[in-house]
Amino acid sequence: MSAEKTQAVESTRAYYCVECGKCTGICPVSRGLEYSPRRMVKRALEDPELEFVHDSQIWNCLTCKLCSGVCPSGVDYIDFIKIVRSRAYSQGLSGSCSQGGQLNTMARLMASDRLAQNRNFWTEGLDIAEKGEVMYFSGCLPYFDTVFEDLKPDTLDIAKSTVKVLNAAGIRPVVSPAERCCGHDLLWGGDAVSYRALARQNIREMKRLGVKTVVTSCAECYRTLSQDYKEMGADFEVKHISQLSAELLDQGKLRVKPSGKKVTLHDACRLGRHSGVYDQPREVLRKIAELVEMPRNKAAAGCCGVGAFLTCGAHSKRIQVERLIEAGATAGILVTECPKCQIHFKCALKDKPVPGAKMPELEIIDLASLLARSLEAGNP
Amino acid sequence: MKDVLVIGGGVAGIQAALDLAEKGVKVHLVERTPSIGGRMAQLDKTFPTMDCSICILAPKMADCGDHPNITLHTCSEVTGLEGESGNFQATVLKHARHVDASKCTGCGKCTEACRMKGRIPNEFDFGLRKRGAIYLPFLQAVPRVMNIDSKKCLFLKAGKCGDKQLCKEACERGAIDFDQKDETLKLDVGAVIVATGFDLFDPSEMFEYGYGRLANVRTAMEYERLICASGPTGGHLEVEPSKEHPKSMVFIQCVGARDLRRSPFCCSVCCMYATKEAVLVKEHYPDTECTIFNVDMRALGKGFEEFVERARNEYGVRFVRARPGQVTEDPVTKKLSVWYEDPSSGRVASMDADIVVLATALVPGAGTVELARVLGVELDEHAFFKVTDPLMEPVVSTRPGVFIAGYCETPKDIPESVAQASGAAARAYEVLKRKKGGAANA
Repeated sequence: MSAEKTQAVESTRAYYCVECGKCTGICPVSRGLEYSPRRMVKRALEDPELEFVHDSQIWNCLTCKLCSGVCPSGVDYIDFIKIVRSRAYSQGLSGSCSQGGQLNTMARLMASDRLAQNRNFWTEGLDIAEKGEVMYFSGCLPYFDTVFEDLKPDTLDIAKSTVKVLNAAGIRPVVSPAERCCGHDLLWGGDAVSYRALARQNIREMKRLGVKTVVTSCAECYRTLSQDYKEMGADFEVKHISQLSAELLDQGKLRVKPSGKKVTLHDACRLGRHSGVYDQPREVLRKIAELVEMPRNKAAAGCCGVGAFLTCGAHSKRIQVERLIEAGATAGILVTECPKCQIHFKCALKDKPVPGAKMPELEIIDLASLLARSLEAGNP
Repeated sequence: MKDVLVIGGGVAGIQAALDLAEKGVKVHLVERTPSIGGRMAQLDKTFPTMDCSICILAPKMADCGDHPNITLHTCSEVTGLEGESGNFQATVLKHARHVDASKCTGCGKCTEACRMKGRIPNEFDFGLRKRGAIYLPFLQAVPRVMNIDSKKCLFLKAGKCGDKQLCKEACERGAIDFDQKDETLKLDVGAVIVATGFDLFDPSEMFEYGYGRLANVRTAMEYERLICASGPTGGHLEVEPSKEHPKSMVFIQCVGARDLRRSPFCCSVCCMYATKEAVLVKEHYPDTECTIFNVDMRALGKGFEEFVERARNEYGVRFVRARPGQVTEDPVTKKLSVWYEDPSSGRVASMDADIVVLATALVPGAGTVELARVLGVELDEHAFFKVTDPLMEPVVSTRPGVFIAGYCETPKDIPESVAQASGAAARAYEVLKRKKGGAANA
């Protein structure tokens, strides 16, 4: 048996699968494509050399983790998929990346340690430091507005808002021009080699700067830095801006005025099911708006339809439209906590991709942006 | 001869108490709730014979209540056990009922008069019916004595119930006693039998099935009350909000059971009771589609396999080997869809259902850990009472003189509980006999 196989079926508890098919029953992909997590696991168990990685189905998984959450055997299906994809990638296979591979290519370019980036162009007028214990990790935000120009996602506003919130609480975060993509998409797309190169550079840079706490405004950066970087020797604390601002609000270091507007929250899979962060974003929202829950919330939350910018198709659009309709029936404003959720939802809202579906009137805004707009003048 | 203490007034405790009482032993039967009867009293029918559950149990309950050798201590719990086999001193805390049992006839006039009438969820029917602050837990309750819920009674809570206490006024026999206090009893007993049964796993934490959020998703125990002729709907199944009878029903097995992250063990009864429940639907409404989603059918008792085959072939109950992944609801029609992997095609499929019934895990009772501490006996890794040798000593706990019977020892059905209870009674009797003869401890 190959080492990957051992890893794929043992460390992920795939051996414990009792073939009940509960995963398929809840998988949002299986309702649009012919796809069964159970059958993928079964194939791995029956196929000593993991030859089935040639089947393009391995790229269908959104890694949203709904299946693992309900599995009676506790099979870590998304970790299983990660390992299987890594095996596939090492054999020259890859998923069909949406955006023509542009985002993944950019991430791979950043793997070079001689790359000079102009990634801090947006920080004008904000109070940032060159060295210090608290770092704001902006991730892909400086790039998204260019790549998704047609959608006008205004993701840079998320970065600016995050720093504004930190400044308002008297925190001057480090924002490093040498920061690299966290590597999330490459890791989940099977390119573990490039992911590790990015992770090593980021960890080295954070150590050089003396960083003890990293703040992210992206759920994927949060998961990658807080969980996956641990295996790479990272020893800093990671906080999503929703977690840090909940603490700051609690300590009275941040003052906000509530808008009274009805909002609903879309739990990002990386923050929610992957990391168990459900309450703090809600604590923040309750202080700045009137939070109304969608029927599917927290661990039951629907998915934004695309994971790691892989395989965006009709099934993704159906998942997005379903979630948008659910949000629209709940509140007029949909708050996201991951820039990618926002991009995917804005795309579906603009494109109206499902014929006959009655699209809601909905404003989509990131939690950090909404928080920055709610800041009271005269914060410290 | 010394007395015996039996803890738990379900079918196992009742059987153990009756066996000993018939041998001339004085028994103290301690029950936490206001009536004996336990889970069996809540069931509609029993498998595989389709007997009326309460019709079988009620005479035994009455025997227990009337037996000269049995003293019932309801609303009571055991808080201490000193001494050793053959010579225990048990402490029993008897909570005030606020009704004088020697005067109350259970006529129900107080219940009719209570200001809280119809406002408090009734435990016996899982909240499907409402009761007052003074109430009889259920029709066949033993003892047939009213009970005042001190947490809900306006007078006991706040010292004031309108301008007068209506229940007191309604009671012709002056049985209501707001001054009644909790009592602590010291009992000298030779042996102890523990028969505390099980609790139900609350499936609302399993968001995928929507229990608590979707009106037409029920637990199997709620279903037992709903299909029961003396239940809250008089035995009529009603779909919310139309109140029509269901055209399709889905039963989901092993909810929280055989789940490595919750109760890893098999509850040992849900295959058979779901089959029974589906047959009951068919007997009420022959045209209603019934599907049982099971992990695998475990029909290993006498006549069980035949019962399943009859359900399949005579009644047309469908069995699908799959665990559904999700139950969704149409926001307008409230119709449910059950999503699962079709085992024949390996593809996802959905099945419409008017009502979904969840066979929830049955777990050791909430007070088990504390009771084990009080009794000085060990529990196993699932918090069932440990026996010293599951093979040859299946009723003997880890403390000499303390015996175990029924579901609280390990999952089992009614006849097995009854058999184990008789076994425990026999072993307890042995202790008393030996003690009488002056021999050493058991």
